[in-house]
Amino acid sequence: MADIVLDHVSKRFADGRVVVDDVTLTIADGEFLILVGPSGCGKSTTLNMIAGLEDITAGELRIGGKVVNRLPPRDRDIAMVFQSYALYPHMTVRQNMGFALSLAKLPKIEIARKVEEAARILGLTEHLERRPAALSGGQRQRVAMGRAIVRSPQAFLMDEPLSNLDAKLRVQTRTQISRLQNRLGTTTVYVTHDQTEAMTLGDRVAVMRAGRIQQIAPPGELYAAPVNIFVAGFIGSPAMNFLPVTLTADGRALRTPLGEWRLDGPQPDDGRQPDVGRLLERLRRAAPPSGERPLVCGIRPEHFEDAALVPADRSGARCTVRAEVVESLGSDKYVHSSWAGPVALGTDLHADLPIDPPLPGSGGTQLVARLDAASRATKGEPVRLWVDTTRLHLFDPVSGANLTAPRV
Amino acid sequence: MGWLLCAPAVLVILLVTAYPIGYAVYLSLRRYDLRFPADTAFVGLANYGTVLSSGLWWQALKITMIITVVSVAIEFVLGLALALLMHRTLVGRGLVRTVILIPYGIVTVVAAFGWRFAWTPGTGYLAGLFGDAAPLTSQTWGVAVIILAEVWKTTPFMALLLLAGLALVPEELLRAAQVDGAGAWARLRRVTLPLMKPAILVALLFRTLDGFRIFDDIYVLTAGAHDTRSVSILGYDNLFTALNLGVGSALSVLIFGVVALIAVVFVRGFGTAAPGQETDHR
Amino acid sequence: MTSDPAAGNRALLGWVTANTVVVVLSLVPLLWLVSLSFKTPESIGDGRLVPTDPTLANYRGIFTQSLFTRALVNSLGIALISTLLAVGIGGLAAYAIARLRFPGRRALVGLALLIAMFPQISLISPLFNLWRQLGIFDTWIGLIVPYLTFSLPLAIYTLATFFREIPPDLEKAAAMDGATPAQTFVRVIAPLAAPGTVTTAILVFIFCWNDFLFAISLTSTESSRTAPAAIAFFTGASQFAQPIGSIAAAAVVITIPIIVFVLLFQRRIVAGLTSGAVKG
Repeated sequence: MADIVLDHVSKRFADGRVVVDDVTLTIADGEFLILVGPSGCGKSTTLNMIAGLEDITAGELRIGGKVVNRLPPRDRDIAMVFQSYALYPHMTVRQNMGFALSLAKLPKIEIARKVEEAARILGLTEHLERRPAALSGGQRQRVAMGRAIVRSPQAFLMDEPLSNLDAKLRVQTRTQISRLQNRLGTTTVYVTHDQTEAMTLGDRVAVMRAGRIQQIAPPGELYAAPVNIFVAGFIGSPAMNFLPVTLTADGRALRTPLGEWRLDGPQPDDGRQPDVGRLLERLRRAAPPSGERPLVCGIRPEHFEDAALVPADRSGARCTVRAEVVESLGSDKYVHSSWAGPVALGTDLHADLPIDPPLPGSGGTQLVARLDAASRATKGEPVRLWVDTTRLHLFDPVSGANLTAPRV
Repeated sequence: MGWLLCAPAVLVILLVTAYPIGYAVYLSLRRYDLRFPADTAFVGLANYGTVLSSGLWWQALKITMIITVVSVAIEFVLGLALALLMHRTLVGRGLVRTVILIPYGIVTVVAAFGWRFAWTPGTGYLAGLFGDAAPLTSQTWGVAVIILAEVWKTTPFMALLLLAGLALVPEELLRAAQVDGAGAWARLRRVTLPLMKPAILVALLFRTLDGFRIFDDIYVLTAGAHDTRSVSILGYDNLFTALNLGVGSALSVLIFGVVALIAVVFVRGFGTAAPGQETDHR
Repeated sequence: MTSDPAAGNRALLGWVTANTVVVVLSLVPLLWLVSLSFKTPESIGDGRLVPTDPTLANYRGIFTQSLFTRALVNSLGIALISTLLAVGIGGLAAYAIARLRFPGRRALVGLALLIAMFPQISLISPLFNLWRQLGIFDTWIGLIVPYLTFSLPLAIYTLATFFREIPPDLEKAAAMDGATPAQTFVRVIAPLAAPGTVTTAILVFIFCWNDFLFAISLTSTESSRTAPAAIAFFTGASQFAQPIGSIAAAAVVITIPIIVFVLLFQRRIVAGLTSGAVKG
């Protein structure tokens, strides 16, 4: 096993498009790293460069300390699981899994032992003599995994390995992959466009957009302290709400489409909850006060609550919206609302984020709030919401940088 | 790398087509009679003048056009019917598909002999069908039999091309049309055919250009007698009977020109997608 | 679809009738040739489909004539060699067209289409002259070269379609499994391309086997004349016998390989024929 280092790696296609732009990334020995991002962000190209399936235009790639830029895939000792599984249709499961070993000229007995061991782990023993065409989608996926693990390679590369499975199987297999990686301890790079997979699987997650890495962090940190609007909007489901706001000249209140939200006032700082004071302090440090300034305010759906269920003396902002749609999930209630007016995000961000652009005819800004199941919110009726102002994220509307991210 | 792999194919193709066509253009501008091989000279467009002022060329062009247009039209109707039959039939689909490959695969000369014997009094089962006259000894009947032979041989190919186009029409779309109140005929005309249009145009292009080259059937059935010559037969006769390479080459160039013109009309005029263009989407 | 059993039966009857008509129309001209080939010169004009006194004399006749046996050998040899070359050379080009992005790829595809539709008669005069100058007139190679040229577009189209059906991921997977490009080709691509290659070979063989124009124009003696051309030059087993029986017998003989292919590879031939042309 080995670590993988990408040192200022770039990829430029023949037509001049730069799809991977100066990516620097260290994947520790035994680490499970997720590359996540919208389609076309360069994550698959990055994976293919690590695999040796694409040339590296600039920069250096090291596996186990050795520069492998010019090595063909077969000399890199890494295994890959493809989105399409890429099982050889003319070979049995046994032959598929043993193909790499037979190319490596291992003795037949040795190959049989390793293949059977892997098949046992993956529950494929009774399917060993069948062809891929005779297997279900989940079984094929496991064969693809098996083909990778029989080789005991230095690293696993996985390219959206779950995206061809149905929802239920995807969750099951996700857990299996996680267990398998824990057990084998093999360095793994896993590419996905699904933020749920990214959050549940990885030791660390690298969020990519437009060929660049936006942030590399453990899932929890990515969620709590996104460095910019893109990461904030990409990670989390339903996605973070974004409102165009104005910070007042005294720097202590936000004028929002839902009314003015005071950021000061009594703060019951019990030490567990973050307080607005720290938020303002971080904001001041990132952007010294200079009169009124426009900002983008990000609020996660769970940082709303039905005002009726919050003690009246609890600090935070309160506002009223019309509940256009109420989804009751049993444990929670989701309230959807929208209103006309300026939008916080440009269209390019909308294209890359899992947030619906404003619907024609409906309002410009959309809002999703996750409320307690006890909420009385009803479809078509106004609902009074409470906002946990200590959890707000304030972003620079031009650069998109998070001005209030807690330093971790 | 791409060019390296294609190089052998391109080389062979260019050597055997582009070069000879160039050579034909050269020969067509010279006097070159195989009976007098020493007497060659540059004669400008004289050979073309000979061809274009001769009734034989225009007669052959007319016959070729008639045979091509009539047989392609009949083939299209029969081929579409056959394609629908193969697409929809409840019984014997495999049998029909196998059997129609026989006319497709059979050697054209063999099939032509089959038809010649069939229409020849004394050996044929069809000869007496239209009175006593031997059909292959009149121009009208001769051309009709040639068209019959051509249609019999190539309708399966047309049908298979159309069948492939038919398979691309989603079943759900036809159900939707049915729900919208379209009858069988309306579904065919308003849904199926428009969706098959690319396949239809390609099939028609293939068959029109192929039909224009007609040679084997005529050679065996009438040998071009009774004014049933196609342009290909004329070219052949000119080379091997008249032994005039200069005029023969002028004919070659003219035929090539007509075929190119037909192709241009199809691609530009009807918007036929040349097969291969679509490959980039995949 | 229909719940009325009578209507269902009528529909079934309709299909059966239509199918029968197609089958009969497809087979009768061939059956007539078969029938003629078993008839004696005396009964050849009796107009009956089933010969009254079947005889193998016509077959014996043609197989004792070097005109036909030699032509059969020529046909087989020339068609087989052309097929092998076309599949080999076409395979390389098809692989490049299906898999690689390179400038001029579209032009190449267009060129192939152009050749497929080329009027062969236009080549007869120049090739006739060129082949005589090069000394390959009336030789196997003199026919193999034009056959190869005109079957290459067919081979390239069909093979490219089959290559495209092999997922590129398989090649990547083989690379990851440690295969060299040669190993990838031998152990992954070739086995998967085999059915497509067989189909292509059959189509090309049928094309070469079928040709008449080149065969009568570029040959002059038994040394390279192919079977279809030879039949056209038949004069009968003996000088006085009507050659009809012989022609019919020879026609049946050269149809046999086609029938065998059709029966064995019906599905593949249909797939191959329709593959290149549909997606336009």
